[in-house]
Amino acid sequence: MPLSTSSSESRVTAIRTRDLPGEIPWTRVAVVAAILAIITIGWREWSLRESGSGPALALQPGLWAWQRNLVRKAEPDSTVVVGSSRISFGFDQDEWVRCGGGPRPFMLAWPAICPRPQLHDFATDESFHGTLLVGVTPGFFFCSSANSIPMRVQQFVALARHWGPADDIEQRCRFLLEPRFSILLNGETSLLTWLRYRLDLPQRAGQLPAFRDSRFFWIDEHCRGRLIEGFEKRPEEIQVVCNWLQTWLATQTLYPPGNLDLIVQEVVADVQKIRARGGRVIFVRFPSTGWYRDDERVQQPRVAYWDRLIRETGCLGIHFEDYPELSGFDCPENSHLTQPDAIKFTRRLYAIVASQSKRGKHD
Amino acid sequence: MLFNSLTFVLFIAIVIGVFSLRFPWRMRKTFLLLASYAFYAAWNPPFVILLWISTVVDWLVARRMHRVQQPGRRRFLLWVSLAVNLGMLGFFKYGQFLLASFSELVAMAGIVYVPPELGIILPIGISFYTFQTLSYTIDVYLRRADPEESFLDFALFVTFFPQLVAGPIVRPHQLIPQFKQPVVATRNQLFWGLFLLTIGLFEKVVLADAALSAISNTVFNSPQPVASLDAWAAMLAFSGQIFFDFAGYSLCAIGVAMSLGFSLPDNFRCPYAASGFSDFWSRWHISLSGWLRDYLYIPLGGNRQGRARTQLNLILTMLLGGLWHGAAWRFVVWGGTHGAYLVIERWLRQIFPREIPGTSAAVKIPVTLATFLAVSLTWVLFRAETFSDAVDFYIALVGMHQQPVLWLETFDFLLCGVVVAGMLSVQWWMRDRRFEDVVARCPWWAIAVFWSALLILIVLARGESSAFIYFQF
Repeated sequence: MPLSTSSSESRVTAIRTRDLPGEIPWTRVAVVAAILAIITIGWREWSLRESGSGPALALQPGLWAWQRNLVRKAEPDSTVVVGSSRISFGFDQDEWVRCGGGPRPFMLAWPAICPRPQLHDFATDESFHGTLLVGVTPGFFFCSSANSIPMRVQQFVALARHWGPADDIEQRCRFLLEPRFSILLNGETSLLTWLRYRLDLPQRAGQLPAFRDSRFFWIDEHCRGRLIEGFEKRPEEIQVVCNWLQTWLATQTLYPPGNLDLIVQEVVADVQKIRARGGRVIFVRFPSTGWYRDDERVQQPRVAYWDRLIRETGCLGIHFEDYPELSGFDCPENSHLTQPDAIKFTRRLYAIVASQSKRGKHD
Repeated sequence: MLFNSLTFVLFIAIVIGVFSLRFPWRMRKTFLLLASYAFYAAWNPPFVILLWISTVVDWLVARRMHRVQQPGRRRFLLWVSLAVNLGMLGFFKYGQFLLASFSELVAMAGIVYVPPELGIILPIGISFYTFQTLSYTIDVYLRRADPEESFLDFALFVTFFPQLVAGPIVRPHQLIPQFKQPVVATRNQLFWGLFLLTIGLFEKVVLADAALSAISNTVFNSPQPVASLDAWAAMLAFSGQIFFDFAGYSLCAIGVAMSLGFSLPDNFRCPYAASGFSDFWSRWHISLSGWLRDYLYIPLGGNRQGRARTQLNLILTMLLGGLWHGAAWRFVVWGGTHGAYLVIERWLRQIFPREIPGTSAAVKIPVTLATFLAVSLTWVLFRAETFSDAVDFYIALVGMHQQPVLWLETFDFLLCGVVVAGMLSVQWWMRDRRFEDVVARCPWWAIAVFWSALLILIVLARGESSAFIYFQF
């Protein structure tokens, strides 16, 4: 919009003071504007809470980068969990500690990301020589580097590396405010998303199925994700999430498949770097069920993908199908464990890791 | 520190509060300088050193240059300043690009050279403050201005936080004189500044990020060829996004400065209401186009050395303007395309001297829409990640992809249409009006309702992305 001055009017004369829009009772304007804004935002806050959208930490890269920098400051032999949502929701850090797993592991797994850039980040972090628990969700772990959504984790890693004081203060403000105000949630509570869902306009013929997000999990200040309590008892919500996941899988077929040879080669190189410093990498395949597992069997057959990964890296690999005590879990939407199951799974996973470690086969 | 962050809310509250205290003027200016360094260091503390180098070198060079009479020594001093400033800019912004280009060049001769990955971090705002300090040294060299007496005022000119990282690029005569007299923002200035800040944030947070960025990102990041309609929507969405993002930042900067009692120049004046490309560049990123005109185009000879030389000067200026935006050949091509537009426009002006720019709406409206369309087509080079992506996108625009993917929902088209049409309509209506006059004619309660609506939408309609596009330049 044209305001009252220009930078290019004169090369030698001083700038004019900007004009003001005449005599406006600004105090009255500001007070009324503030009151109207507070009332409306307050009403929206109340209505969100009434509809069950209670306040929670927003899912944004700053939270991940904050946690990554905590790892940098921690003991170099810490245990760190990386991967995507399955391990984020399914691994219970407190249970791991209760089982005797030492200091509380750091959680850096994050929904819908590829853990390879995380692995590479730790491989290039000379100070790290701890244990890396890598959750392998085949669709994400073996995705193409051109797949922008799982690979957005590269931006997370870059943010953590260039973490500045402003980022630090911003995250502290978020820790303070987000657990108190539902309006600060991102995703489906945003006004435009709400409008999109509310209008639900007819789609074009031949268009990809529309994403309809639904909040089915929450994430805590330690980056740990959890399915919302009682989610498994609400079939309608489960169906919404299943639709969402199926849409997601449909869009994934549009991306070129990852170059498996290159992926395995890069992972092996990263694993070797970590091992050379005395660190340890453990791959864990968390459960999936039903149509999701069927899809994975077709898209990333176990022998070609998982078995090859474990064989070529020489790392300890724990696949839920190989251990009766890790099988038989029911994932409500076929992809994630509920919170009580996450505790059970972690306890059994710890026992397997401890027993394999005693044998020293993979260290 | 981003204007659209909680940290900035805290920061600006403290700065306005402390700066308005009735301490001696020198102390208040020193506080403002320290706050500006804190603002910059909050992103990456070590890079404040670059600001200090730039400040000290240009301060010393300009003073020495003023005292020296011999042209040769003056020229040497100018080269010192250019070497330091452009050297830092070149290393941090263009180092990797130059190595990669060299590698491609020698590859043509069959020589394999793999450049090292330097891992250089681009210091935020370096292109902006480099141009700002260069204008000072060049003005002193050309004896258009005297060197500044006060180091504090000069340092504050280089570092003034509202416009430090993404402009407007301010000339010495526009800002330094404002540091000479004690400044206390009046109540009107404070509220008007906050009002402008709110509009700027609305443009950035709601229109650029929440409404338009998802549309352009979805289509531009598509792994498969996209449908023509999706490509058009994404291109128009990005045209709106880049305007709201950058104009929003500039307005925030103007508003923040105003709330402290300082005046910054306009950087945008309804650019999409421009009828013609020279008109566009007098409305888009005004402080950069003015800088390029005064320190590049005119020294090259401007339009005083014949038609062919004028055209060459235009092309050269725009090529360098393109390179200023980013270290990639697609930015150079973007600049070259705008240079070509300007040359073609000059040529058309000679053929149709009366019609362009026409005085009637019947001529102006189609010319304005054609200008918008031509400018939007060049934004594809800005947004695409690579040249081949841009070529693919142009192919999508003409609908020549087989079995394209339909990404966008009906709601996306509706949203994009409403926002872009609204943007064009408002800019057309505001084309020859001043915002201050429009606000002055509104009843106070209407301003209050408008302001509250902006605040509500900023809080309730936030988008996912947050960084300003122009920060990468």
